[in-house]
Amino acid sequence: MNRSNQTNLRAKARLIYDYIQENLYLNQPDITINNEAFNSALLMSLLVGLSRGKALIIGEPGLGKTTSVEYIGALIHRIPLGTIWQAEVSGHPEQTEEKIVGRPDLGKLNLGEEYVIWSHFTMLPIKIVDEINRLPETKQSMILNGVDRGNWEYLNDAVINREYCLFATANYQDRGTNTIIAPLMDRFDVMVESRHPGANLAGTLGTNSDHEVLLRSEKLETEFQSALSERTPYKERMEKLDALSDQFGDHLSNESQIPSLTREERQFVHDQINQLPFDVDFEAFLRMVIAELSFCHQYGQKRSGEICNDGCHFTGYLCESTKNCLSNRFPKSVRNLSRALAWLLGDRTAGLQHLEAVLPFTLAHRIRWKDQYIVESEREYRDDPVQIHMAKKAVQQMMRRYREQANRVQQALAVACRVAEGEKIDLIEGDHPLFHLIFKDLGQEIP
Amino acid sequence: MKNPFSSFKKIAVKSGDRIPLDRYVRKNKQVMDNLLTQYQCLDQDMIQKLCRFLNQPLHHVRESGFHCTNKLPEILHIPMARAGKIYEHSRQLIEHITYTVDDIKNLCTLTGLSKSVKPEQTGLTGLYISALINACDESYFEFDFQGHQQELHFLGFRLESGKKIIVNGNLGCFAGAQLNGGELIVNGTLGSWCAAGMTKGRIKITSDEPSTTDHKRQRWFYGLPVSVQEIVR
Repeated sequence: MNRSNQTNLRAKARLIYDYIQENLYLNQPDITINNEAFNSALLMSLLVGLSRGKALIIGEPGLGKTTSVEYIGALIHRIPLGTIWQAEVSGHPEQTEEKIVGRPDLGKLNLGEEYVIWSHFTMLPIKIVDEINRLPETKQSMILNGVDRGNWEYLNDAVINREYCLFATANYQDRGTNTIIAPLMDRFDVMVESRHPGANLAGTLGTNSDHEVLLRSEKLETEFQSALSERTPYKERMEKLDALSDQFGDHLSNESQIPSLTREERQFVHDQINQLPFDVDFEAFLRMVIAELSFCHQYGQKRSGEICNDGCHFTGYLCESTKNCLSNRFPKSVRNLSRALAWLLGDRTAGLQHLEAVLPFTLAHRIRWKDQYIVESEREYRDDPVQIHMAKKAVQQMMRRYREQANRVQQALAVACRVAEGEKIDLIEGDHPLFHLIFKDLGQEIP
Repeated sequence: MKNPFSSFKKIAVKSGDRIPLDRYVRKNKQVMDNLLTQYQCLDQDMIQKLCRFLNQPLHHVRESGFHCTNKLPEILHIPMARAGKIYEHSRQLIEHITYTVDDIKNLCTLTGLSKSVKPEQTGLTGLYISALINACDESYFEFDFQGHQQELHFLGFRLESGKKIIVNGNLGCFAGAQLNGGELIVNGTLGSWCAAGMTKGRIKITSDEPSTTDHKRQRWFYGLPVSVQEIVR
C-alpha cells in the first residue's frame, strides 16, 4: 500500500471513532491532544484495537464500558455484534477454564481420543471479558498467558492467536467483586474510565433510532457460529472467518455506509504504527519516568515488600510515594500506544505530546501508592477516579521536572552514549534518579 | 553489550560550557569539604568558653570601661588568650590545604547565610577565616556580607601587614582584634570590643554616620563612639 492508502486508512480509523462517538456511545471529550478534543475511553480503546493491545475499562454499571468496546471490536475486526456477544466471557465466581478456554470433546474422549473444542472467546481476534473483577483471584490466573501472549492452552493442545486485542471491564468495588491480581493488572496496557456523559447528553438517550441494529446481521452471525464450531484446524477456521468478516464489512458499507477495516488494512496499519520513530524528547522523558518509578536510593530498586526510610536524598520524587517497581511491560505499552496515537493524528514521529497523553492511562493501574498519598488524593476535588487522578498528577510533576532540565538530561544521555562507546569523558551529574542510574549502568562511582 | 544510550547518539555534546563548570564545582566542593573538616577539629571546649563570653549581657562591656582606642581591659585578657590559641591551632590545621580567595568567600557565605546553625558551631568561624586570610598568598580580600543571617566575630584577628580586608555588611564582636599591621575597612556596623588588643594597623568605618539616638548610644556602649571613624596605631 502506498502513502495515499495510509492517509485513507487514517481517515477511516478517524471515521470509525467519529461514528461511534456520534451514534453509539454517548460521551464527553476529556483530553486534548494537538488541539483536538477526544474522549479518553473511546480513544484508548481504539488505539488498543489498532495496536493489538489490552485495555481495562472501569466505571459504574451501565455507563457503556462493555458496549463501547463491542462497537470498537465490531468495526475494527468486522465481526457482527451477535458473534461478539457469544464469545464474551462473563466474570463470575462459577466461571471455569472449560467455559473460558476450551473443553474436551466428550464423544471422542469416550473413544480414547483427546480433542479440544476451543471456545469462541479463544478463537475470535476480539476478546472481551466482562466484569473481570468478579472472577475469583484463583481463576484470574487461568487467563494470564492468554491475556499476555494470545497463547491459550488446554490439555495437550494450544491455540496461539495470530492477531488479537483484549478488553476487560470492571465495576468499582462492591460486595461481589474481587481484587484483580497484580500480574493480571500489569498485563493491561491501559486502564481508562468510561464516564457518565452528563445529564444533558444522557437525557437524549432513547430518542433516536437504535444504531446498534446496524452492526448486526443474523444471517452472518449464524455463519460465523458455524465456522467457529467447525472441527477444522485453527488456520482454516481463521481463513473462513476472514471471508465472513469481509462479507460483513461489505454489508456495513453497502447498507449503512459504516467504515470498517479489512484484515490487510489492519495489518498495514499495524506495520505503519510499528515503523514510526520516537523523538529524543520521548526517549529522554520515558527514561525519567521509569527512573522515578523503579529507583530506590536505599535498596537499589523498588520492591513491593521494602519500604524505604524517611529523609532520603530523593524525597520529593515519585519513588518516595510508591510501593512497587514498574514492570518491563510498561515501556512496551507506552511505546505501542504513543505510536498508535501519533499515527492516528498523522504525526511523523511519536513525541512528548503523545507520551504525555497516554502516560496517565498506562500508569494508573500499575502504580501502587503508599496509603498516605491515596488518602490525600481521595479528598481532593477531581474529575477522575483516584488512581487515574493520581497518575495524572504524577505525570504533571514529572513533566514539570523534565521541562526544567530537559537539556541537561539529554546531554547526560548523549555523554553516556559516548562513554558507553569507549570515549573518555566525564559523565554529567544531576539531581534526579536518572543521573544516578546512568552512573550505575556505566559502572562509575556516584559522586 | 548493547549500548542502551544509542538513541541519543545524534545529540551534540556541548563540551564548552559543561565540563569546566562541573570540574570547577567538584574541585570547589572538595576544598570546602577539607576546610570544614579541619574547622571541626578545633578545640571545642575552648570554642564553647569563648562563645559563652560573647553571649554574656551587654552591660559587661560598658562596666569594663572598654574603649577602642585604649589599652586592653583586664576582663578581656583570658578571652583574647583563648582566641589566640584557637587562631594558632587554625593556622596549623590549614597548613596543608590549598585554597583561594573564592574558597574563603564561599566559606563565609556557607556559615553566614544559614540562621538555623547554632552559634557554637559557626560563631568563631571569624577566627578560622582570619587564619585563612593571613595564611593566604593573596593580599586583598573583599567580602559582601549583606543579607547574611549571622555576623562574623573576630574577623581581621591578627591581620598582618600588607593584607587588606574590605567588608560590605555588618560584623560581630572583636572586629580587627589584635590587628597586626593590616587594614580593615568596614562599610556597615560593628559589634562590641572592636580593635581590642590591636597593636598596629588601621581600621576604618566607612558607613554613614549613625543618625538615630539608639545607634549612637550603642556605639558609645561598645566603646566605639560616633566620633571615631578610623582607628590607627
